[in-house]
Amino acid sequence: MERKVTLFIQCIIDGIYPEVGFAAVRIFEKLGINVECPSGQTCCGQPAFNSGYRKEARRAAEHFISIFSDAETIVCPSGSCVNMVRNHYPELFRDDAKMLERAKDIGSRTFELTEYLVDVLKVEDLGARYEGRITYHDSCHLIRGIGVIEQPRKLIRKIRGAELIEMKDSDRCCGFGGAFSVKYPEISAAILEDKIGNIITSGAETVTGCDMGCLMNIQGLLSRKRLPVRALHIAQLLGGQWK
Amino acid sequence: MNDNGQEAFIGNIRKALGSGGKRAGPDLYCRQTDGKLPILIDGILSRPHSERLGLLEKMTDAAKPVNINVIPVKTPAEAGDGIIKLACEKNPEWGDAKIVVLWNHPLIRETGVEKSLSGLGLGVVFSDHDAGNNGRERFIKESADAFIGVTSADYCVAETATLVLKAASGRERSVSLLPSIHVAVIKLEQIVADFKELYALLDRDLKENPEALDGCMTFITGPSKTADIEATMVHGAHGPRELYIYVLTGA
Amino acid sequence: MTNLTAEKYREEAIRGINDPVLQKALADLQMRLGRGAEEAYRNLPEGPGLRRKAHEIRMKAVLNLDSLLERLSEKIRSRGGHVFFAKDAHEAVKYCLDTAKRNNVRLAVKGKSMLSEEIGLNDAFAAAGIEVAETDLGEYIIQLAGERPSHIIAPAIHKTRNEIGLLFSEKLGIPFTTDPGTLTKAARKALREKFLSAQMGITGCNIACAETGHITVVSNEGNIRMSSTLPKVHVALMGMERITERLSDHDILFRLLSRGAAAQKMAGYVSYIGGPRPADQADGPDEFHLVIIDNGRAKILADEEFREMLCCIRCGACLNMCPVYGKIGGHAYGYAYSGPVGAVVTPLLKGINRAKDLCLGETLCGACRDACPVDIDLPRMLLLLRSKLADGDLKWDVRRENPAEKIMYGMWSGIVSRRWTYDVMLGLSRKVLKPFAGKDGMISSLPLFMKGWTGSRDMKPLAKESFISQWRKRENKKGNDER
Repeated sequence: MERKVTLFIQCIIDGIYPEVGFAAVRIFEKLGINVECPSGQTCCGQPAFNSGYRKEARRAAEHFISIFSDAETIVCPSGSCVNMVRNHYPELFRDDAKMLERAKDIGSRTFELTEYLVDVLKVEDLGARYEGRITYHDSCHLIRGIGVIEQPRKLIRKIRGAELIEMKDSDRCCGFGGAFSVKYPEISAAILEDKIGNIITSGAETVTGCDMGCLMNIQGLLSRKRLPVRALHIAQLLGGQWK
Repeated sequence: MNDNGQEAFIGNIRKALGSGGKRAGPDLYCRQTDGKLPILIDGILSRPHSERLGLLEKMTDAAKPVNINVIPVKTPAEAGDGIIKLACEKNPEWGDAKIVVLWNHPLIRETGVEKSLSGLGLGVVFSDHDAGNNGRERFIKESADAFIGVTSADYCVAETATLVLKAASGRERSVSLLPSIHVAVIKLEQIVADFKELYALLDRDLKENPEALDGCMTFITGPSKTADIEATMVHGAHGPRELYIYVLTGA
Repeated sequence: MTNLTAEKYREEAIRGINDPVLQKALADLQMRLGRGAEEAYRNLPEGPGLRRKAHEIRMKAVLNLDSLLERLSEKIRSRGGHVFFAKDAHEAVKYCLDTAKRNNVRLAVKGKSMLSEEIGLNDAFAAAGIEVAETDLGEYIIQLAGERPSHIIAPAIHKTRNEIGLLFSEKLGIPFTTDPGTLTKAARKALREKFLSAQMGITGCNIACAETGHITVVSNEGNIRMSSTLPKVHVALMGMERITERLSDHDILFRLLSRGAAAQKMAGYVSYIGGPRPADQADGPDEFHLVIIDNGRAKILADEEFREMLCCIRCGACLNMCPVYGKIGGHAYGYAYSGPVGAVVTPLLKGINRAKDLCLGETLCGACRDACPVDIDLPRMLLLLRSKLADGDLKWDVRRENPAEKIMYGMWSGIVSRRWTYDVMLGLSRKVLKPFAGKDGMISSLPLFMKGWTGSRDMKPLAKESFISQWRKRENKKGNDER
């Protein structure tokens, strides 16, 4: 039977970092798994939900559910999106029994990338190669929302040529928080400064993570400070797509 | 009809909880009936001596980081000697007079410390029975003038070296609070392993005598301390600065 | 009543961020207490899952609050204590003042109590010419300095030893020193005199016990023991939700409270107080008054989605892990309660629109939920508060905070409901942002509402072609190749 996954691409990856999406595709190609990607997908609705606009988030969620309703296995290279689908969609459809059922169902079929690779496919070694020291940032929704902590680390440790260095407070927020970064920029930047400080102190030349929102945030300050550290999504390290 | 606002207040709460009239709350305050509690209590009460000594060791380990001195002694007289030594060596924090305030407790009397202190010319005060209005102010002043306060305790929790003191006539709160040095004399058998055991015994005390906990009960874990200035730990805030626990282990 | 200054959130936050003393103090505090509590939970014999059990215990009490309070009150009265039920801050303060006046109180000593801050007790007593001496060292320091507390457990965390040294030499007349031990001794001496001469002691209440009819007070300094034992009159202030059903509940609750609040296995002093001193005891107060306060809590109780907030035991553990609090400090929250607990409680008590920045000004990282010893889902309630600000709410008297934004998200929801509109939006955005990209490919200055981002960091511009667009092309090509 042909192995297949349906790719749910995060809006940030879709619009700003498409190379991360192709890296994720490459990972599955390496594993001999077919990738489908419904081209009607847009956004899981998290930005609206986090800002309190639930009716509006619901419309996005309805679109998501209709797009992915036939997908057996949905994989997404974003912890916060998976958290939204799994943990918040049921809340959005609380008063609609039918949609609630569909929401719960789709949540049970949606996986974060590293979660899927390690826990479902039981794969840790993807034959990837990356020279250098890598430090890993634990994204908030990934660790506290869906409980994915060890899986990315297992994958990084198997990358040939790479050394995983844990930074101080890797599980502390990077200050992104979606709209928060734009509405309370001073607080966001202050929290981010600490994160950058910890990244630099770790001595790693590359920082990675499973959420492009966080990495975009981190990359923003690394760039502004002209620091030589690269920010790459774990898919890029595993799929060989960082050039 | 002044119910001090109770009816309206409770009525508001009931409204908020969505209950119309008075709620029965049938499952409140029920004692556990699964038999676990009596077994736990039995275990505590019939604990072999060797295990009790193990708890003492645990207590001593727990005492160190919180600045408690745990001194095992074989007899009450030895505890008494220790207290005398403290009284001679230590200097009062406030004023010059060396006064010791003591609980009126059988264990304290057994130490013979009262006679020895008097013999040395040191002031001795016992918790006062005559607690009329002036008696209260007088006793507090006497406790405040004392530099050592000697009490016993009801229990001691080994896990954290916590003393449990139930206030009673002759076992006043000021004695463990106002003097700069607090000394407690307890028996080995009074040490329980952890808070689970403590609360099991307190539950039992309550069951046997519903008025058992009517007065004030205090848990004391170490001398007073604070870290309010630049998070630097300082021992000796408002309560005693030093705490000594004599544990009678028997011959 | 203590004035709410939550409107100054942004301004105070920036002030806090730019205060190097505060920054260092908060970083140290969070490392010691926040991480310390984390480890302490891990080392519990029952494991960190004990927090869920504690939650259930608290929730049961909340759901039976009427019965528990009735029992508590009955038992305390049976021992000669007085129990007053105060509907709001005004009633509570009036009762305390009346009690003080009746007893000719000129000086009251006070243990740390956030509730007393909430109801504005100190100011009311001062206005009546009664001195209230704060006795918790941190509160004592800020009282001398005329400031407000910046942390629930460590109120003077923002002050250096140098500042305190200057303060003490000025106000207490002692030679200038920065040694914490010496400074503490000076406070010890000054406050001992007050403990021994005050006519009234005022404390809060940590967790009362309905079964036995006691309140409990917790401290490390011994100041609360002093305040509740020495003066003739003891007044205890209690938030109506601060009660548990059974004595044995305290085993779990105190172990968790101590770990959450200060990474301790057990706090220094815990006192169970059930009334005035029995006639045959020589110390303890002659009069005991318990003031049980509503002040907006019944409204929280009535809302099933916010009811959980009443499980809070005000330990401060959430402050010790919050990355936002760790940068902005307590004053930004503008009320008695700071940190994540303040972000939920203050809007519910004082007005959601008024405290809107408290609802919106977090990253929702969830660290607070993990830190809470009674497992309260604070992020869930913050999200709920945000939805009320977005859509308005009749019950909570919330008006739509940002109507323009609502319209924008309305449009957005239409745009994301079909791919072609989304593609159009992406195309437009690409065009609009194109002139902003710098030589290195990064945008260093964004227009309009996005400029907050680029104030401090760069932004990667939109890709020339979206992933989906490239994917479509790829799939089409594959399809063509296959034919």
